[in-house]
This record gives sequence, structure tokens and C-alpha cells, in this order.
Amino acid sequence: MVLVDPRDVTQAGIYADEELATYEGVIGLYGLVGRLGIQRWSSANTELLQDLPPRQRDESAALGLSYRQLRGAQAEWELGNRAADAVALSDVPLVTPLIVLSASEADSSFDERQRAAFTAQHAQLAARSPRWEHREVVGADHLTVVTRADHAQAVSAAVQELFVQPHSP
Amino acid sequence: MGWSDPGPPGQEPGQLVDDLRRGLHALGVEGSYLLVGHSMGGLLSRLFAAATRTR
Repeated sequence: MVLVDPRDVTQAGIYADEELATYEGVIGLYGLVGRLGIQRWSSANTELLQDLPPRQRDESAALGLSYRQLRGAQAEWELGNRAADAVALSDVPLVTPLIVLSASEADSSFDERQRAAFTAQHAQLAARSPRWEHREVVGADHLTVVTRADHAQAVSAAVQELFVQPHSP
Repeated sequence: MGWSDPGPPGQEPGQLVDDLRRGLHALGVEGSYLLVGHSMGGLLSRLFAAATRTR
């Protein structure tokens, strides 16, 4: 099994309450102005989509502005927190190999402070399996792994390299 | 998320893990599995592994 940049057990410790509250407020605001058709795609996300083919870029930008997507993002965020809690509470020991890959770069979704905190937590998560490996993938961040071919290749190369190694630390 | 139809509200991680299990079964994909999960998918993969320990 391979895990790539999962949210982990002490996520609540990373995000102060006021940050979470701000996030929920922003989602609601973006949703409102998106429905009114006056929201413009942010520069950060324009950069994120720049390597996509034109049609996919336009569709992704339009989707990103939709109230449906924004509400879905909020629901997924909350679901991610519940998944992190479930992992933290799980007392079932893994018998399978576990590889955890962490992003080496911050991006528009997670700044450097958050990235570093996640990386430390990933190491803890990996060590809960009897056969584990944890690595930061140079050139990969949380989001662009799905939009930039070179970042995806960096992650794929790390997965393939680690998969053929013995996984006992 | 994405172009998918919305799922039922209030989904829990266990439901998504069960969706994965039933999807694999419906497709006739039997273990052993190599799961690659991104972001929250990594957590769900971890939960799936714990729920299906022999695979």
C-alpha cells in the first residue's frame, strides 16, 4: 500500500480554530459570488491549471467557480478530518507494507509551515506499520502532482523505486 | 467532487472504504492490492488496509 501526502492524526493542531472558521467563510463567499457570476479565478489557481490543455483548463476553471464544487470541497475537508480521526483511533495493526510520500514543496493549498507539519506526521504514521518507508519527493507538492506531468513523474518514480526495495526499516 | 454526482450527505470514512471494497468486488478484482492514495485517499487506503488485513 502506498500513501501520498495524507492528512494525518493531529491535523487539528495544525490549523487554528480561526483559520478553519475563515476557510468555511471563504467557501461560502466564493460560492455566493460564483453563483452570481462575478467571481474571477484567482492567480494562484490560474497558475495551477496553466499546463492543462485549453479545454480542460477552461472546464476546470469553470468547475472551480461553481457553488457545487465549493460546497463539495468543504464537505471533503470535513470528511478528511473525520478520516484522520478514524486513522488515529484505529488500533488494528497493519500487516501490509506501507509507503508514505510527502511533498517537498509548499503550494497554494498548504504553506511551508503546514507542509512541514504534515511531513512530520507522515513519518509518525508510516512508523505504525511493521514494514514502512517514508520519503519526501523532491519536486512534488500537494496539488500539482495531478496537473503537472513532471511532478507526477517524480512521484511515480519514487513509488516504483520504493516498491522494488525491501520495506523493512 | 469534480463532475461526479453528489454522494449522500454526511458520508463517513467507513462508507467510502466500503464503497471501495464493493467496487473492487463488483469488478472482480481480487487481492492482493497495491493501493495508491493521494491526500485523503491515503487515509482511506490506510483504513481499507486495516479493514481487510489479509489482503
